[in-house]
Amino acid sequence: MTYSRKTKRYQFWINLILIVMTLAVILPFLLVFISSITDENVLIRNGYSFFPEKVSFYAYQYIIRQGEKILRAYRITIFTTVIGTCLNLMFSALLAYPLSVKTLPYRRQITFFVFFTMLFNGGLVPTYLMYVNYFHIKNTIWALIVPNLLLSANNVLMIRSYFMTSIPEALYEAAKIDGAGHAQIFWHITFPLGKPILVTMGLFSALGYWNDWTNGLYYLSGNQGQKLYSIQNLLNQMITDIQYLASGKVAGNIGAEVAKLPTTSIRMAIAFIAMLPLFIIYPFLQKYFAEGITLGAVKG
Amino acid sequence: MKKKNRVKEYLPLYLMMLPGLLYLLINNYLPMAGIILAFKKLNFSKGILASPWAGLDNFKFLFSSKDAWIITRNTLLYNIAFILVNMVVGIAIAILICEVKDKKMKKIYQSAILLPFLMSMVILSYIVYALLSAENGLVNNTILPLLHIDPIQWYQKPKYWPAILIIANCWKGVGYGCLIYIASLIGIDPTYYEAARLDGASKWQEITKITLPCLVPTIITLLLLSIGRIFYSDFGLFYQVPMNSGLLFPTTNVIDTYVYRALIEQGNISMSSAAGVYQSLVGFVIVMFSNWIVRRVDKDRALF
Amino acid sequence: MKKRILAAMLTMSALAFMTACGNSETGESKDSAKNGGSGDGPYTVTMVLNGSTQPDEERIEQKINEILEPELNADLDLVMLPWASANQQLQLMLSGDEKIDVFYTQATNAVQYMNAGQIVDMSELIDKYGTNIKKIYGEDTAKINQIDGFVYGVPNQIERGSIPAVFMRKDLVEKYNIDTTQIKEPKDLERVFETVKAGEPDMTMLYSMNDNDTPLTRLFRGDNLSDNSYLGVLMDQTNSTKLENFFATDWFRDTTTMLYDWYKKGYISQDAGTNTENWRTVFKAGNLFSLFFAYHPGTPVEFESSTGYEFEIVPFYNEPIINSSSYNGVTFCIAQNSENPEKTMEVLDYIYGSPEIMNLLNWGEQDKDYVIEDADNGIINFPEGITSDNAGYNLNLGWELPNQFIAYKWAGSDPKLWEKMEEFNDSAKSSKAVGFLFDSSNYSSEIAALSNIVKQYSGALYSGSGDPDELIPELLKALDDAGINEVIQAKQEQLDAFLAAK
Repeated sequence: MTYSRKTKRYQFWINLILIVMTLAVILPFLLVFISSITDENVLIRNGYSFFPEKVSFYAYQYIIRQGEKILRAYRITIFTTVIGTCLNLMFSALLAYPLSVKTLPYRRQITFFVFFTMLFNGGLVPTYLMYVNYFHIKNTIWALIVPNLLLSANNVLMIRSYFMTSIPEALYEAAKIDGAGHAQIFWHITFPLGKPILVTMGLFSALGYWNDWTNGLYYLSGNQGQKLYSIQNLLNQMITDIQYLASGKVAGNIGAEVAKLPTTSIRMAIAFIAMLPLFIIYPFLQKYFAEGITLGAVKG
Repeated sequence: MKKKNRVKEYLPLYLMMLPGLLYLLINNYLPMAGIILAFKKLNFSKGILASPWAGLDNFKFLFSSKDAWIITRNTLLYNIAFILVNMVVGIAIAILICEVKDKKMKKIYQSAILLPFLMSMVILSYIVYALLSAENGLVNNTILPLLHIDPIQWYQKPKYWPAILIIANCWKGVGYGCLIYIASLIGIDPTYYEAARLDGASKWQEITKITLPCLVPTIITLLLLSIGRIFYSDFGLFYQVPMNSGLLFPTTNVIDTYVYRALIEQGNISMSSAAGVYQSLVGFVIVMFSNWIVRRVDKDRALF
Repeated sequence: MKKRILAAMLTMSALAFMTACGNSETGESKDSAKNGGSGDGPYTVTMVLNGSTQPDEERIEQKINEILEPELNADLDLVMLPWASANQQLQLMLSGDEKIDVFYTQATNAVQYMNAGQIVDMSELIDKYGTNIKKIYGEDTAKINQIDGFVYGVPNQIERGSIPAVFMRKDLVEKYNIDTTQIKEPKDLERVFETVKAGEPDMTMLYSMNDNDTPLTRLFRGDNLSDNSYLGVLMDQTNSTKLENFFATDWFRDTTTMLYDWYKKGYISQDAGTNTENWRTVFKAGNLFSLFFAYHPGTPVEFESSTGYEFEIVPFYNEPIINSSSYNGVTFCIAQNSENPEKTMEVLDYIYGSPEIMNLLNWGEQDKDYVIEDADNGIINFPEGITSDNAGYNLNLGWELPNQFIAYKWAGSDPKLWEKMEEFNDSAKSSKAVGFLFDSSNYSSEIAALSNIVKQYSGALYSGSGDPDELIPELLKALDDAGINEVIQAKQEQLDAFLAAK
């Protein structure tokens, strides 16, 4: 397709601005990666830099030696993220659609019921006491999935808003005339047309699960709990363990190994490893996003 | 006869909502009973319910000091700035991305804006430190000399931090709104644009007369959702990024960090609960008020 | 068709909830079986410590129970909370009905728990079951951690007090022929810094940071009465019991001025106000000359093993002072939700007197996790083929356990370490306020405000990166407005009452 000269110049400026934006986003991540392969002593002396004096992979070697724990943590994280996100999307969509139907009785009250949860919060202690003493989820995999992340009023209301504004009433009316019930309308019309917002909210939900470290912090403890650490919990623990070992509080000489622990570069390597799988997956998710785009464009 | 039809028509909808509502009831409403913690002088040996009442004592510390005004002002102003800046930047970038014709580049940009979500605040604080550190920072060592300015002790001068924190927050958080705006922009009927172009409208007119008005519902929804959190702050942003530097408190201490610093030695559950209630209450009042206003203007656009 | 899918989705979600409850039921029943409850079976004492969970924890617990069961009809269950989350998790565990009996904490936390009714008064328990504890400390000191008669925790065996000292890299001291006998007080170090800096222009002379190991707090010789905000301290604790406003003292002004002067001269890093790197890491990087730190017999080895350098140590005083925090820095408390506090106390006291259990707890099984290198001096090391990476059990947290003085020492320690510790402790002078802890429950609002103010200025002043002439007047005014004088007066009243009751 050939464009006019005006369009080409227009596209040039747009792309330029967006490329600058992309660089502004990518450079910090690059810095994290480079710091993780910078020699520890150089890092302390000269601070963070894009051009390190001395490169060292010691941080990654240390992490690889913890290999099995890390693989298990990845498995747990992937499991909780996949299951959690699916459940989250399902519940959110199922809750959002009825709320987008303008004629639903008690619609305003139920929406308020949902919205109110964003404003008032019982606090950590009551939530913890309820989940641990009544539902007994401490040290189980559900502790990573259920509290707070399984449904968020924020997502539900965003989805509802999208359903209400981007899906034309005409389609619903046509379907009703054809004799379709609500369930069928939802499945045949709303769900396909709502793909962009569903994928978006699904993405945020997945990110929420992937990055979460507080559920593990509060609900997993001791030996049993350790086996269920997600990757964030594990990395958090590795960092504090390393800091503790390097702090020398331990009496006596545990060996030259401890003296060599590269605390700062390990922190960076750990952060990088936590983000890595998402970097890899995201471009593939883009495909579904694009599908939603084209589906949304073909209407009427 | 009519009633039976209504039930038959709406029953599937209620069934659909059931799991979600049940979850919210359990996860959010049951623990809300815990708000009474804020009004009690806790004694766990007697149990929460039997502990003596403390009236409003636990709230005193939030209002009694000179700092109370500063932290409230900081919290409010920052949140307003965040909402406005992220909205403007988010919409601008969303529009730009939708205008891009090259599909490959479009994918790259869409992936890029979400990347900052992956970075935790702790790591972000290291990055900011890499830029602003007095001895080794990029700004003091490379950028300022180029502009012939003396090095600045960034972590000791409060006046620069509103700008720094707004930029940091925008970098990290703009992707959220942006992606939602993109999803909405996609949903705009392309026939509007075709009609406009036939009428000879310029790009700028297209944006102001079609795109923005169509985005208004989404903007309002996002706005109302954010307003409820207007008394809360991202703890990591205000605690980690300024490296917990005391001299910066006048412009970086917000309610959440003040409560944390106040209670870290005292560990008083009732007091932190009281702070939470205070924040929720204010957010609640403001949101109800805003929603009421939106309702007056356009009934459909309100949240409820 | 669609209705069926809908129904399927709904049933799936219902199932999800069912399994959630179901799963945890089975998890719970396993725990209760172990418990035994009241009756004939051994009672499981759950001991909660801070540290990293060891892979072979269960094996060691079994070995410990082999001793405990016949002796006391009890079992020990160790729960390790990771450092980062320990405080939060502990507070949650003490708020409900969870199984927790005895745990480690420090004084300020213990007092919070006491005020919230989360721990048990141990005075009677010590009387009835604390034979070993009373033997080690004497009846008075065993109950020293108390407020108004409520004993909130028992102390453990660690160094009591320490001496502020300067630690300098030995190789550099020799290189520049520094005469350490000339160093009597911190100010004398200026000439040393000048000499070394001239020869090593890129090196930082003195370590500084804005929290914890700040130069100022490390030089402080007074007694801060376990208050990390230093609201009302004893400057001359062996002689006087009058509390002073720390920030208004001459010592504070002089020391901050000295540090700021060094900061301007470049002896202290320009990043001192925001530094987060541990001094061990900075020493290892080779970029640091000296540090103010606390000296006690265990420190030289600690320094060498964590940095790789040898150090020349010059203490600024001749003997340590035992402060009020010396006995309550590490305490063991009993939770209010413990089902059997008497049995718990029995087990705790037993550990104080049992080298077998102490060694199991700290080092693991003999010959499996460690071998004895030097039987006379009690020195041990890893067996062939085991290192810190693959060790099944190597807790190495002697300072956190009840009585490390009766256990083995790890290779590299001074062979006479425990003897030297005891000597060191015996040579110490005592603060008049030993055992005192301020009960702040009536001043929560004031302390909330004061904590924030102190935090605002302490970073810059303690590290030397802020100008005292500018900051101290501001700080004093802010503290006055927030009510520091009322708090100090209340503290003085409580202190006087505490001393009168002794």
